[in-house]
Amino acid sequence: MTAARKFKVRNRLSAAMFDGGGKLVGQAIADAQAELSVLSPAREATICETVAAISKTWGPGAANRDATGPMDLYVLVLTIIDVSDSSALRGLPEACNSFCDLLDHCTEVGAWDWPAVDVHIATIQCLSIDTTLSEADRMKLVSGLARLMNHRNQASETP
Amino acid sequence: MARAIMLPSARINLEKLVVLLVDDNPQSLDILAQVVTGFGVRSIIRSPGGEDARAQLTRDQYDLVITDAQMPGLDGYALTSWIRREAPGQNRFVPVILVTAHTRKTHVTRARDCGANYAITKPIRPKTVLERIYWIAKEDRMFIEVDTYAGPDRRFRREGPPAGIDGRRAEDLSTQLGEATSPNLSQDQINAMMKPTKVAL
Repeated sequence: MTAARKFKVRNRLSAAMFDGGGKLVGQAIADAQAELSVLSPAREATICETVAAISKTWGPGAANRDATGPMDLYVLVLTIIDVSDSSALRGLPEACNSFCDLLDHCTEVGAWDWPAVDVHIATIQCLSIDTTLSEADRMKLVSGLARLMNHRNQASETP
Repeated sequence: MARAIMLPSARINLEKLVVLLVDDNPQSLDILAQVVTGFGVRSIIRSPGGEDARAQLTRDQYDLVITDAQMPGLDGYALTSWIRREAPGQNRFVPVILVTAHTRKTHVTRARDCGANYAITKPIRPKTVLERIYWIAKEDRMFIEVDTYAGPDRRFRREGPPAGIDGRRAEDLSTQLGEATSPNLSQDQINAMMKPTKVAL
């Protein structure tokens, strides 16, 4: 085993960042938000398309929905998280994270849990399409998923 | 090690930085690019994957790398490990921010051990990204190299909550005194403890 080395490293980031000029932190964040708003229509379109693709292939009415593995669905759910905006469609990233946890577990045990998948699909549909939902209702949907996942975890731990 | 508080009135200058953004999802790459553009960064190189990023880092020097964790081929964890072990010149020490959409159970250890300075979760929030950049610029973490790890020191000293934040940490001892669990010392025992005794040297 080689000896551990511990040393200081000066990076250019530290030197350049406080070199005078530039902008205030508050302004930088506001500018970044403004730059991001340009992408909002494209982001929303991608979310709608992806949710539709998920429902079509893995929704309750889909034929042969277990023809593919949970990882294919996992990748699509990740796409929604990738393009989500934390300030719009509140609760959607949290619901997708819960969905990813579920699919991760399904992959681990090698079996689909269709009732739980159906609940997640219905929730992300609701959160992404229904813009009239209040923030409180959105959070209720997310906490419902958390309760579902807790129940699943407890059930799987019970011998 | 208390992290620096980023005040909205603080002045920062990111104009001279050269930033490498890595993500296999073009839309996600656009989001990252828009955010750092808003911060004032002028030199932004976009890379569609780990292999391309590795080629970029072999060729040019960067001041900051922001990479997605989950990518086909060379993923963000492996890219960061490569940077810490094999990247040429100063790029080996370049600050790396890892961006995760969802951390799979099997990847938790990799995320901890790959050598990234910080990891943030999607969706991307400008404030969170800038805060991590600010922390990197302000902190003086040592760089560690051992057989099993290369990267910024992962051990943070516990010095209570960050400056400006009230309260105690969950693991702090309680300030409440409970009932005594053993009988009080008698006066004789106290006297014996206080009494100087001769010692033969």
